[in-house]
Amino acid sequence: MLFNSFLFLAFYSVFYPIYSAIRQNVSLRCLVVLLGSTIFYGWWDWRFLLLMSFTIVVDYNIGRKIHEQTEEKKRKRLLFLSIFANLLVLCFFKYFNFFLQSTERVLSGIGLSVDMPLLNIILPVGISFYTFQSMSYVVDIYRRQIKPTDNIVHYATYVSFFPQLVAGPIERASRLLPQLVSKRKPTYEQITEGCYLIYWGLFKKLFIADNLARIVDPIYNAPDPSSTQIIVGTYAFAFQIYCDFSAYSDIARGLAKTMGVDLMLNFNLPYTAKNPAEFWKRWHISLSTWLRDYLYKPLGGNRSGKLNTARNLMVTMLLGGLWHGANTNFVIWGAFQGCLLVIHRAYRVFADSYLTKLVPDTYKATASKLNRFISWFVFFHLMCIGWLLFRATSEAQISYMLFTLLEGIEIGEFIRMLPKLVFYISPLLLMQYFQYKHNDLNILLSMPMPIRMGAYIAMFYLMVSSGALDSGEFIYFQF
Amino acid sequence: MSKLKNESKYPLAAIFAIVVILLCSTAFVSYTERLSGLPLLEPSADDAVVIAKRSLLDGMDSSIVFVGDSSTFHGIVPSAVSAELNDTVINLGTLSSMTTAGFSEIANEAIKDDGVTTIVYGIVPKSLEVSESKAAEMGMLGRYLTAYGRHHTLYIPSINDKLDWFIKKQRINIFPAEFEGSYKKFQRKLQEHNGFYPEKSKKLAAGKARDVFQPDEFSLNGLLLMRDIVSTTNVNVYLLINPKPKGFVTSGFVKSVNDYFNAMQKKYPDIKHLTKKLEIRDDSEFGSESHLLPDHAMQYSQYVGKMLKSELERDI
Repeated sequence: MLFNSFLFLAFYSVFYPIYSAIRQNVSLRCLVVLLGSTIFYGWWDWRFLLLMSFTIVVDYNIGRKIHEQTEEKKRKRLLFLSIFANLLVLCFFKYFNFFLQSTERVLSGIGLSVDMPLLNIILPVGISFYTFQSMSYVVDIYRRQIKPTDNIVHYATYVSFFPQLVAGPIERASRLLPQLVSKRKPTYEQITEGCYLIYWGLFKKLFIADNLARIVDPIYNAPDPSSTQIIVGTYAFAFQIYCDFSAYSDIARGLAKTMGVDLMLNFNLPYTAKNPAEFWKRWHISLSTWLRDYLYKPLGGNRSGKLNTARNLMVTMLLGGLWHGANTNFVIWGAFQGCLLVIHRAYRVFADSYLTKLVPDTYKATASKLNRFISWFVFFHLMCIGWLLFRATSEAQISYMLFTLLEGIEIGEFIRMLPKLVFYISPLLLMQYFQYKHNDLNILLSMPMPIRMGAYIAMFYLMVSSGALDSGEFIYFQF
Repeated sequence: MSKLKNESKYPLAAIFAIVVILLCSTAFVSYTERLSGLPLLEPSADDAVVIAKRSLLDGMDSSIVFVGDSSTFHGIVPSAVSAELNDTVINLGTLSSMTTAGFSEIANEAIKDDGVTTIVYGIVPKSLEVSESKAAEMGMLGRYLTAYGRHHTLYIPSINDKLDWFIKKQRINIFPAEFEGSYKKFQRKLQEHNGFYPEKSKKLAAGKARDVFQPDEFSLNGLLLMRDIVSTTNVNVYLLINPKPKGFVTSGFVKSVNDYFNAMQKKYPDIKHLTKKLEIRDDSEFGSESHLLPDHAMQYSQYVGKMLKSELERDI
């Protein structure tokens, strides 16, 4: 069931009045949310529910057992059992064929030709999201950061909460569970902000992301696109993936808000970032903080020397890339992000120690401004190279595109292709300018009434007159 | 949380926006052509065909009317048929998305003109494979009935159709160059040729040969609706099965199509068949899977004209 479908509108129109009527009764409300989530998720394929139920039952019981257990060794064993069970499911459904194919390639590389039997496995929608969410619950209990819930319905509601089930934000039990199991009445601000987020999210999906897909797809599906086409296609993809994914997050957060539940912010103007460290604090925040808390820090983080820090960053980003999907390009993308982070750390030390001392005090302010702009410009284009790696479907396509980029740009073709791109992204740029300037993501809600009204009307007519109404799934559903 | 200001005024902006949208859209709907945003916005190519064909109904003085799918739209040259029959001919063929129920609806509107004596219902087998759910998915029939306020016994527009009509009416379309680049020019061209429009593709692209024919009850009922429409008139109805390219059908497909039409002829004798079987022609005569190239459309139209002439003489 897609957020951008009439089916979902019908579903929510039935769900919401029922939810509102019984919201003061916590047990009944959890049951209704769980039932709603079951319908929402089962609509794709009822078999997906079995898999999610397995995750819920395993982690609910292991969580309780870890809490009851006092012996550290046994607690650890239980934790590994939960991680093993979760990763086993995830690896089988998401990575089994990829591992077989990779093994086949490695073996053929050393002269051994083996024909691995590939399985016809359907990838359950959102499996990576709810598996990570469920895993974090068990780890937090193990770390004694939270207490387990003693009600499996509450836990199932937390794992399957439908607004964020299939594409995040990946929530933490410490944040979401208490909200789901306490008496809640959505405030006036929550409903206002929720409706606004849903509307803005739909606009980003229907008008920006899906129209940009019409520019991107033909270029990335073409056998030999020109350098200019690759440049325009990659710029377009940078905005497509941002608008597509952040649209889902906005709608998810908006829906939750109308139910009186606050989900975490997942995107905070990521393309204003001037370096990779800042980017990962602004992009897919729920995943990057998850990777930081449950992978990077346990590996040692940045407290065990420069080389180990670099290793930890590389491992985290490689696995972060692999989290996105069982494809070599995601691994390459992860490695690229890891390299950027490592290089940036080294550069920061060098810049702080030497470069800043080279600038005379009188020019420091100007130099700082110039430095910010150059950093942003360079990093944005490095990010675009990253998106090229992410969007490409094979190593051959990646190498073709990267080498073709060296041919340079054909100005005439670029100018011909640019207006369409600018037309679709200009509402986003305009909005983000004000969001950035006022440091307020909901700046539109604080603007004078005629401006808000004009913006709502303009968004409506842009969606109706030029939106991609036959739009498809959100990109991150496949992860 | 954002810096929420003017809290009490929040809903006002949304309410005013909704009121303005309703007023603007109402004004737009009442000012423009019923199916599309004409004259303010260009229609889509599909809509343009239907609107232009409908406009041909105004002041129509033809006694022989061709209705049907795009094989008729691009395959029947009224002047060529006219030359054989010494009678006035008009081509009201549209697109398969209109479905047989829609073709019958257009014929129904055409026979309001007292001068109409003959309706030729020209389709390719594919048009008989459209189910009701497929018709709803394609959306053209639902939007057509909604726009022109028509009631249909086989298809009742859903809320989705009505919403689809409301939204598509306000879409910004770029009129395709192969359809003359603007609706005005396209309509003029159709008027000049009494509804015929030549296929623009020069050559048939390779495709997969079909070997299964799956007729649907909904499409058959749409076709049979013609019997009720002409039951109180003296209008003759003929079914014309337009030709298909050799490379796109297997012998099994042709056999099942012919068996189906033979059975249909026996069961419903009041729908006269102008062609006795599905004609297979060389791929070189086609610009697309169902559209004859202009020269071959001319020859085919003369051939249809001759067949129709002999049928009409026999019926008299």
